[in-house]
Amino acid sequence: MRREGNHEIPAEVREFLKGNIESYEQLEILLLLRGHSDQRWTPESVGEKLKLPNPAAAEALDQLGRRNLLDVGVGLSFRYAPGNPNVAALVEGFVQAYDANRLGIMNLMNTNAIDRVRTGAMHLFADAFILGRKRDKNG
Amino acid sequence: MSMGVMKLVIWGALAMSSWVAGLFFLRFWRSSRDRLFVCMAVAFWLLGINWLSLALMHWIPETRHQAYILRLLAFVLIIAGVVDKNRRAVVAPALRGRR
Amino acid sequence: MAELVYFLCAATSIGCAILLFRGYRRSQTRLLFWSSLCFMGLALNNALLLVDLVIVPEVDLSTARSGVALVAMMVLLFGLVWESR
Repeated sequence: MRREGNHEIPAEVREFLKGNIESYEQLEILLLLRGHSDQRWTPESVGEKLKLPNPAAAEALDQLGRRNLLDVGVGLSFRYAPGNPNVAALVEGFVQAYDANRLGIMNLMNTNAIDRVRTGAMHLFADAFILGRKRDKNG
Repeated sequence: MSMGVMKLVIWGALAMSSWVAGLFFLRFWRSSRDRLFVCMAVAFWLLGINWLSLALMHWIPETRHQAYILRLLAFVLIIAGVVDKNRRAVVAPALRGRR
Repeated sequence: MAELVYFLCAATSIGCAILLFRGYRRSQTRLLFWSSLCFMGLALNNALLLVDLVIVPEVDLSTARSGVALVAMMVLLFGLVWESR
């Protein structure tokens, strides 16, 4: 099922997208922080700028931080800081693809989101077999 | 219907359902690249062959345990898969964010 | 020797059932519930095998055993098909 515009997006951009950007919040926040890479942002400042609720902004920032895309500082402040030159190059490639073919990127994100729902149960099945897991606060 | 026929029907159904279950696990493996699913798929296929062999061959009590070698292999494979999964989980916890 | 094989199979099945059920409790993912039931059924199948061949060899439990296994597999297939979207 080919969606329009997909064929223009390079494979490494697709992979980057699939592995690193799960939601529109993460997409917008990554672009915002990259556009102001000298500034530090908090969930509140991001939320205000992008008109997002704070919890959504906080979660997206947290996820991006865990993927080595942002530098996480004290007091929950974030700054765009890709962990290594490869990651930085991937982000640049992604931004190019996004500018050239926004629709294609959006379609890809939709497809990825659907895939993630479909495969959620599967991953949980496999993860059930991990013994002695750290118990989180929900038990 | 005699008991013998009933057993054959059940074993046949078991063989077929094992085949299908294994196929699902194989598809999960293709999606996730998690080796555990390969172990599950092959384990269920081995169980299926085990049930098939019970139907197709006439076993005498003295050597019947040989019929269950395949079953043993299936479960040993599952154990191996679980052990392997746990080893991998400890080594790379930082990558779990990426899927 | 044979008893050890059957016992190991039953024990492994129970282990899988427990892990899957624990996972189900944590995540409320129904696939894990059905899979857990399947492995419980397979454990019962192996336990009955032990009983049938070792404890009461004069009684033939093979239909009951395989019936239990079939129910277990049907439950697993139901879970895999239904919860796979």
